[in-house]
Amino acid sequence: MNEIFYIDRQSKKVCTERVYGRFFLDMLYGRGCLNKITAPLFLPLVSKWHLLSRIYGYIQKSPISRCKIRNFIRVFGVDETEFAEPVDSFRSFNDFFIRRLKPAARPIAPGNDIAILPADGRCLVFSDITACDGFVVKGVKFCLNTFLGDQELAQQYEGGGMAIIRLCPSDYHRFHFPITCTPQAPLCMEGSLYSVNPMALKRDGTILAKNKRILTKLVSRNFGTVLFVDVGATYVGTIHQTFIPFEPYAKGDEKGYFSFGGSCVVMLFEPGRIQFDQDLLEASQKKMEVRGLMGQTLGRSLTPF
Amino acid sequence: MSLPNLILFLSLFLTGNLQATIAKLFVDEIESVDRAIAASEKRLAAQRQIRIFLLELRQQEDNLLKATDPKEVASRMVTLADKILAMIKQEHLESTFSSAYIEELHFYSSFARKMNLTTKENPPRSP
Repeated sequence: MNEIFYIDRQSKKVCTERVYGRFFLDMLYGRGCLNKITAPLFLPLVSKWHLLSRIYGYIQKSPISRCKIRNFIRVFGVDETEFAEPVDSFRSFNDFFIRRLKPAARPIAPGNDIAILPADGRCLVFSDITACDGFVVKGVKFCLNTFLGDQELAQQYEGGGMAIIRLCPSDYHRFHFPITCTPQAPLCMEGSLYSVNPMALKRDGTILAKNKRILTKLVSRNFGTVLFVDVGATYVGTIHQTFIPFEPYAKGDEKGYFSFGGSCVVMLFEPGRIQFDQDLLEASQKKMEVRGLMGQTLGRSLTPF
Repeated sequence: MSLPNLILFLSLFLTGNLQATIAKLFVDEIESVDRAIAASEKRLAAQRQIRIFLLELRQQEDNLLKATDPKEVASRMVTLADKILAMIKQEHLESTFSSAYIEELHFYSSFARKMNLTTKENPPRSP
């Protein structure tokens, strides 16, 4: 199996990702001879039959799953000093998965003209969505129209900026508002639950447009109307939204959380609205993800005040 | 008289409700079938109403992202979802729809509660 590399934003070092459930991912999305048999057999079951995700989710919510927490923290090097509640207070693995953090653990970058990363995760940015054709997988075009399911809306964001933040099972799984804004009511788009791991994306670059996703328009003064899309993935049957539509929210306020599994957040900015941070742009041009934390800067507004 | 009817007769007789017992045993067949027809018609009307609501919900979903008054569309959308969910439960039609769709209705219905637009029939779902 190919290794997954990313740049750690704090240390600026290239790191190798520790993949949770590597054996299963390899079986479903790998490119070996055996995968030619296992993938067609099991992939439709796992991705399209949500019952499996639900059963797995049920197990993760059961008290017996608690016993995995300590080992998971040790293996994936999760910093438990950041947790808002002690590890022993988690009643299940899912409780640990959707944990809250101490406010000081994720300082929010100040400034009304600064957008922040909405979640912990591996980030890719594109200044121009139309220029990222075939980035995820060679020859497969990222189709905005299919992704949004609306041609008129896709036209509004054509040529705009896009940020993809991929969350791994070891990451903090709550997502927050990247800008000060008023969110509108979310739109649910039913779909499959494929993995969003790079290995899976390499196999099928259109996964983001096939998976279950929730679109929310964030109306702001400094960044125009930002489209915030929560994308479900394998074993993420439910994407929870904790916000109330049409109420104003400050940058860094919680928007929702993902239940157990890998998941992804995609943000779309209208053309001429955002200048992404240089380190994110440079790494993305080299097809390398940058691991950042919620609250760190994503970019600066190009809208004059 | 069959055995269950005999047991019913005896039990009600023993509790002193003889008249009601006799009425139950010798009820007119036409009345029975009329009651069944009325119940079916009521169910059919509810199912037709669900269909109308589902079509409208689809339309509202299509309109949501391009609406000039998104709050109005969103309110209508989540209220509809909440009503549909309540009717599906009332009519025991859960198995007619995919679990993913029921989940979607629950999703919108949760926003109806947040926006104080919920119907009385839909009790809050435990988190």
